[in-house]
Amino acid sequence: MTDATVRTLDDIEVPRRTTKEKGFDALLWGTFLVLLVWSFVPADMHRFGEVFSGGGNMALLLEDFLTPNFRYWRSYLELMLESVQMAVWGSFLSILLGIPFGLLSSTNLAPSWIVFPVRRLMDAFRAINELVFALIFVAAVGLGPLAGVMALTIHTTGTLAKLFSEAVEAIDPRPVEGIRATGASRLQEVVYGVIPQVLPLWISFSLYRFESNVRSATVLGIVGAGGIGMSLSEALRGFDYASGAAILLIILITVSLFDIFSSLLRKVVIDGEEQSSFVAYLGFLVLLIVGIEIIL
Amino acid sequence: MTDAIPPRYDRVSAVGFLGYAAGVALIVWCLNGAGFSLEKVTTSPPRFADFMSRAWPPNLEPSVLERLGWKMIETLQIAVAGAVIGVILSVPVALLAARGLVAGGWINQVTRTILGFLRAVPDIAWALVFVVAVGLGPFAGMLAIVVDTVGFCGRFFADDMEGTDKGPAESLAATGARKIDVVACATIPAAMPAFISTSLYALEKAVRSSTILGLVGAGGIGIELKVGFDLFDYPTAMTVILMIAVVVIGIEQISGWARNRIIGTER
Amino acid sequence: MRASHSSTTSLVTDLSLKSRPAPKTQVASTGALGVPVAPVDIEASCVSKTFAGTPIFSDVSFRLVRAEAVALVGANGTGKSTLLRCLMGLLPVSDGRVVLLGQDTGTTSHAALRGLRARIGLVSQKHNLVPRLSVLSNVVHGLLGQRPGLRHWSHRFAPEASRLDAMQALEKVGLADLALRRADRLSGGQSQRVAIARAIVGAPEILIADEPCASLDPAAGEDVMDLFFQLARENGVTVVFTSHHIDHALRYGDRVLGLAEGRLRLDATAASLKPADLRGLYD
Repeated sequence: MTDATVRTLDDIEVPRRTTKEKGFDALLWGTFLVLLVWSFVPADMHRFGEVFSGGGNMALLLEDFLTPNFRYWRSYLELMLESVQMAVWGSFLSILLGIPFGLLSSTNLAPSWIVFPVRRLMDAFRAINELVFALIFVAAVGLGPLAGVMALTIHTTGTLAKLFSEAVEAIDPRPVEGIRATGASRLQEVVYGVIPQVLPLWISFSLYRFESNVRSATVLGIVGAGGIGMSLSEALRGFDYASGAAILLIILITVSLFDIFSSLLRKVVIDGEEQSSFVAYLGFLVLLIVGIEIIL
Repeated sequence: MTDAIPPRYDRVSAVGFLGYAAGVALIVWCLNGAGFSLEKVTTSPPRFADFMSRAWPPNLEPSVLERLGWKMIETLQIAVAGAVIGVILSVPVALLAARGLVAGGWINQVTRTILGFLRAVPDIAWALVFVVAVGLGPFAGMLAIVVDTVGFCGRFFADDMEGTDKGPAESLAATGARKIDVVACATIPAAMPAFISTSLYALEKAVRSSTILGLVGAGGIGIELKVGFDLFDYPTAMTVILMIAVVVIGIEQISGWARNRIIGTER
Repeated sequence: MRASHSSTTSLVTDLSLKSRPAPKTQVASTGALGVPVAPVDIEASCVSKTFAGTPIFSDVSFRLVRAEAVALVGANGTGKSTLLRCLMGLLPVSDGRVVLLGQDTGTTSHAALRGLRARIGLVSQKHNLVPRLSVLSNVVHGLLGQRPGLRHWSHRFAPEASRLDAMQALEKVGLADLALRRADRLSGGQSQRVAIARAIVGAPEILIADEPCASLDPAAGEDVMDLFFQLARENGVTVVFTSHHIDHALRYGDRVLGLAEGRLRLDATAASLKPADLRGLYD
């Protein structure tokens, strides 16, 4: 583009994409389509129409679902509380375990011959769903919420360890070096240099996992590990959709209550504000729980 | 230099103290409810060891491996199909949930609340519901994953879009383009790396879910796990668990690598 | 980027914009009998804007006719950008009336306002372009006001005619060979020139430039301003621009409007002003 002569329409060429670029695009889209097609029939997608044609059950289901039946409310509330308790303990223990495992998984803190096996172990804990662990622990320690707590603990430790270590690896090394320069020991380095930097992020992750665990704890009962899951499974299998709807509603409300709790707690601890609303909400929750316990 | 030394601890207000006390009480109460008993805890390790001895070595018979292998593939298909459809459906939903993009105010709130409800119900619960609605089999599992994915991606796509630089969008709106054109041309391209990252994470979640949906009859390898435990066939159950671990970790690695590649090339 | 720099100046030399250009039309629009009257493109009457209780400006009135180039000057925070957005109908006015291309912005429907804006080209200080898309797609977006829809979301789906229009616009700003480059891989000056291409691709009747060279170094800024005004003059387009630089206002504008302390303190032809007169606005 160095001359200033007037160019006509013919001279101006609209650029085309190179064949290589086009080929790569085709490969990407092609793979995507192949994956979809390959998954279509096995995932029973050809029956998609049934969702709307109300293949028999759908209509029945909806009718019952929209009239939830709280006949067994006592049992439901008791079991829901049990699920919550499992979640609290599972989260608490996994935080305790997650801290050392997380630190040991951080490449900037531990030598690679420790980091590698610890990371693989945490990967395994994370990959296996809580329900699977619940199955194992029920077989090992018997039915009941203890199996559920252990299942949640192990799985969540895997997740938290990874999240914690990601935060640790992202820190600014200078404060740590500063501590080291004062002649502190390795442990002191970690406690005073590393932990203060990662604490907000760690707390955020822990709260997020707690919310998630309240959700998970509700279903562990399906395999007998305590909580309301068993009732839900029985209700739906027994075609008692109305009770099933009631249980789902209770789960929904409980999870939402704790989501709010978690976000308020997050604001208090991390942003340092809104203490009054948090305490008010905590008071409300405590009263609610105490009230339910008294009724039961 | 007559400054007093600052006190060691901040004075806790009465309200704060109450908060801490309530928190401790909550945890103790949970201890009680979670079936905590010293005896159970001390007898756990040996009982666990007993279980492990019965589960190890895992069942590696070729016929079993083949059967489980096919089931694992079916599991992945459920996950992929569910995640893909979920992601596609999430885009219009996210548009409704994102503040000020195509709709405002109460529509945003309502959409986000609905998405919250979709997320609040655990995936297995959805699977149970769909098994009842459309029968046993992978279709129920796939629907459960679709719902779960929409709940997740709907919210995070919306957050991603809200987090983009508003400059190009405003600039485009000033040329007289319609809202939908502005979103398609300025907001979504800007949010694309975040979309891809979120979608890959949704795929990881889908794979993790699909491995256990079979426990309630929604297709996939979960059913083999249930059967194994029910029949006390622990070695086979262990094989399933190991397969699940390998596949999920594998998908995680691939997803992480893909995410790095894509985000890397975008910068 | 020596090549494009020299191409810009060579395109510009015969119009010798470096010296004071003569305005193409007379400023006065109050037509007496027999005198051809230029159409009024923008008319503001007693416009005021208050935001969250704080008054930004009040009682601003002026008229712009076709092919006038008007400089809006004033210190930071006097509301120049806000006034521009009120003129385009992007912000509602708190008091008074803005008539844009013959329509009252306060009473027209959203759809009609969008139609009006499609006849206007806007170049902002920064963040004009969508970073991850190609230069060509960004310019094609400039046609969305007039040709809405799916096809103009990217240059790949656009009809051939639109792609040609876009390439011609890029040609005029001297960046046709960068058509497929990603917009975030351009220098500041190149970025603004693509923004200009996007503004002119729809053959607008009015061009608005809000501090177009504030983010650029002086040399790039000069190039951008020269190019912008050359294109405007060539096509008889009305221009409204804001700038911090007093000499830009006098060099490129036919008329100067000065905002200070919330009022329009100055409305005079550029020829009648000297830099010293404008400095008073910035105190």
